[in-house]
Formats: sequence, C-alpha cells, structure tokens
Amino acid sequence: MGPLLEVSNVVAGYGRSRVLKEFSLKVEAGEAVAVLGANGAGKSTLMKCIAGLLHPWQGQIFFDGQDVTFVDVEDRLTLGVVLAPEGRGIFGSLSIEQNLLVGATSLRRRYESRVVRARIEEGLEKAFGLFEVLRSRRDDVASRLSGGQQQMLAIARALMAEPKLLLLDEPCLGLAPKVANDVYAALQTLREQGQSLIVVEESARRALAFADRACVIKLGRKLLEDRATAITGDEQLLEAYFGLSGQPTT
Amino acid sequence: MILAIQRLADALSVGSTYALLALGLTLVYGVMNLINFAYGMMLVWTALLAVLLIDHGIPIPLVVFGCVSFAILLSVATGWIAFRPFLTAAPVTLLITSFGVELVLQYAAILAFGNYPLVLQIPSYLNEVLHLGSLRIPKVELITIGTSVIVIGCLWYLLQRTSFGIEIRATAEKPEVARLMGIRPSRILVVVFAISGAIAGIAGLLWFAKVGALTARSDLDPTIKAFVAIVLGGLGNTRGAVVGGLALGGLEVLMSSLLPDAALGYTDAIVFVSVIGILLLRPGGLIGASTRL
Repeated sequence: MGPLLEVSNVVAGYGRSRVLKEFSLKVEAGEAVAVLGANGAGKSTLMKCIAGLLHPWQGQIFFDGQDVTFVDVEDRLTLGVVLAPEGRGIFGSLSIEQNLLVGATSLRRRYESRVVRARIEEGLEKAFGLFEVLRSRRDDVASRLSGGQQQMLAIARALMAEPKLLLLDEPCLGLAPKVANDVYAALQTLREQGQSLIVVEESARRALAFADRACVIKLGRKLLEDRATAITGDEQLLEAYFGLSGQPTT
Repeated sequence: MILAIQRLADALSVGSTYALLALGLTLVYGVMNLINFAYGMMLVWTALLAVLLIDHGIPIPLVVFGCVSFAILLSVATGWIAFRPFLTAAPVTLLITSFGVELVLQYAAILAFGNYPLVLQIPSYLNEVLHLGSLRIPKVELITIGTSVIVIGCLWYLLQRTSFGIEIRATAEKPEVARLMGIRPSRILVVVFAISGAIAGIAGLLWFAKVGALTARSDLDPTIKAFVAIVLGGLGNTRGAVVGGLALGGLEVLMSSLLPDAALGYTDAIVFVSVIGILLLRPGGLIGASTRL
C-alpha cells in the first residue's frame, strides 16, 4: 500500500507571490510528522493546500491513493483530511457542544442519516474522553474558555469529522508551556490510538520530542527531512532553523 | 394612565414591525456583510401581490400563504443570482450590487403594476378597533404584535436550537473556519435569504396593511427604518435588531406625543437626530456591534 498522503512538487501561493516552491512530503498511515519552520516559511500555506483551501499552481497531492489536487475542501473532509486551523478558530458565540456539532457537519455527507446520530454521539464521547474539561463545560459559551481549553476544543472539533489525517497548524501558539505540554499529552494519546497526523510548529522542541519524522521548511523549500530523533541532535537544523528565527528557545 | 397604556400599545406595534424588518436585514448582513438595499422591494413586491390577490377575491389566509412563499422565492432568487457571485467580494461591491437589484425590482414593479398608488384593501373585520374600557386598540396592532412575537420566537429557536441555525451562526462568526468544517457557503446563503425573505414578506403585509396604500417606489421608508433600527441596536446581531426596532418605535411614538402640532411633520427628522445622539454616546449601538446571530 502507498503512503496515506503524498505531496509532490507542489508550488503554491497567493496572488503573484510564490510561497511554496516545489515542496514534497509523504506521510504513512499511523505516522506523526512535524513540519518546522520560521514565521512565513510556508507552513500554513502547505496546510491549506493539503486541506484543500488553496489549490496548488503546480504539482500534485494524493490522498489514500487518490489524486486530490483539485478536490475542494468539503470533499476532502469527506475523504478524511481535517485541518485544525492556526489561531484555533473557535466559534465564540456557540456553546462547546455546538462547536463540536459544527465539526461533525461533514459526517452527514459521509454516512446515511440514521447512522450519523450514532457517529456524532460516539465522537462526542471520544472528544470528552480525551478532554474531560470540555465535558463538564459542554453547555458553556466557548468564548469563556481559556486559551488552552480553546485549543483543546479546536482539536476535539477536528476529531468530530473522523479524520484519517489530522492537520494541526501551530496548536501551541500563545499557550503557556505547561498548557502546551497538556496539549501534546493529548496528541500523544491520539497517536497511540493510531491517528495519523501532521503538526506544524515554529518552536521545535516539543514537536521533535513527539513526532516520528520531521521536516524543516525555509522560504517555501524543504531544507531537510529525517527521523525526529536524528534531527534533535542535528547541528545543521539548529543553525538553519534557529538562525532564521533568531531565538534559540531550547 | 390610560393614555400611557395606549401609547405603549402603539409603541409596541410600531416597534415590533421595525424589529421584524431589522431582523430580516441583519441576518443577511451578519452572514455576508451585505447591507441589502433591495430589502424594501421584497416588502413592496409582496404587498403588490397581495393587492392583486385580494382584488381577485382570494381568501386572506391563502393571500398570506401565497405572498410569503413568493417573498421567499424572490429573496432566494436575488441572493442566488445577484449576490452569490460576490460572496467573497468587498462589502462595498455587495452594497452597490444591492442598489442595482433594488432598481431592477423597482422598475419591474412599475412595468407590472404601473407607477401610481394602489390600495391594499384589508377585510373590514381586520380594521375593527377593540374597546377595552376607554382603551382603543386597533385589531391590526394586536395582530402585528402577536405575529412579531411568534416570528421572533421561531427565529430564535431556529438559530439557537437547530443544526441549521448553528451552521448559520458559525458561518456568520467565522466564514473561513465554517467552510473548513464542511459547511457550504452557498447552502447557507440560500437558507439565510429564504428566512430573510419570509420575514420581509410578513413584515411587508403588516406594514402596508397599516399604511393602507403603496406604489412601486414605497420601499425606501421601510428599508431606512430597518437600517436605522439595526444601527441603533448594534450592527450584525439579532438581539440588537429587536432592541433597536423596539427602541426606534418607542422613540417615534414618544416624539409624536410630546412634540407640538407644528413640529409633527418633522417627527422623522427629530427621531433620526435623537438616534444620532444615542450613537454618539454609544457608538456600537444599544447592544453593541458584533457579528453574533
């Protein structure tokens, strides 16, 4: 069987500016891959291309053996590619449960209507099992949650769509270190359940400790790709990566 | 005391009509940042159709059903044909488009119905006035208040409790993320224009039943009142629309009872100046502007 996701020589951008330059990446089923890079390196653009929000100018994207390069976001959700966007994107005026229900929208196209209700119940149970704090506050308005809780809600909401591949765009942005550790603990649990995922990060340490594989992206090109443990001790990465971000935060 | 109750009933009747009007406008604004200046023409077309049907002796319940269905179709059609291509365009593009739609609908109405006043004959039993002691309340006022309460209640239930409503609110708040969750923007557009059309149809019948007559150019007054109500209450949220509508109605009734006879012709101007005064004190409107349906 081929890889779950294959991004092949993708060029993409906005207007006239090319952000991704012949970028390639493979993710096997059950794998956790970290994409690291400084602000503006093209990480979010890559996520948008994989999720189907942005169509590449060149290159191809395959998912589950199927060419999805020009499949739009709604149909890619149905196939099982789900993005938890940068900045969490929580619906502050909806309750926590309603946020989760919105996350399950695509299930209605995936299953017959009599099955959907049961799948949603199952999804809610799984989400609340992973993040107990959300269960106790399920009827609260989401804007009242703390930043960390909102991130947990964003992940839980993405899980409601039953992803085969979960894309996480900077899940720890703006979170206190302790809260970020909690988020990664939950991701670890998901991984142990066999969830394939790509996590995009600016700060490398946690992501490298977590992922099977990592690649570093700089100015839209892949700088290097290796096993995460190998990169952790790699001088070249530290040079390239932290040299660009200017802040050795390890 | 009696006078105060009388005024209160008047204010509730006027205010609840404005609240309805404002809801239909603010829903579309909340979801697609469109200030729909063609909105008033939905009311006018509905009322013109009502004139036609009533003149042909169609019973009132059928007239209401036919007119509201027509308003829904008309609203969805304009949304689909005129506004859907500009879903992601700047709000100004949408605003200008809505002026275009308004003109098209207006001239179509002139072609079909002529450019002179038509009388909306409502059956005499609806024109009766109820006497409660020395209190005099026209039946139309009671029907207006009752209908508004029911419509507002239904809309609240739809937005807060149904999956449709949750999708609409999610789209209004964060359209890009809503799309990422698999909500199709074009489907939401159809649903929202349908609801807006239904409200416009009901509000149009109530409005012109009270006014009694209309021309193809009678759309400006309700559009402006609805717009002022949503700005006064707080742009982009349904609670603001209801509060703004009631407040505007209250202000109007208050002014017309306080002003000397000589100034009565200027009631609208004085009301709008007071609205400007309120907005200077509370720039976000009474509830506060935020896109929360």
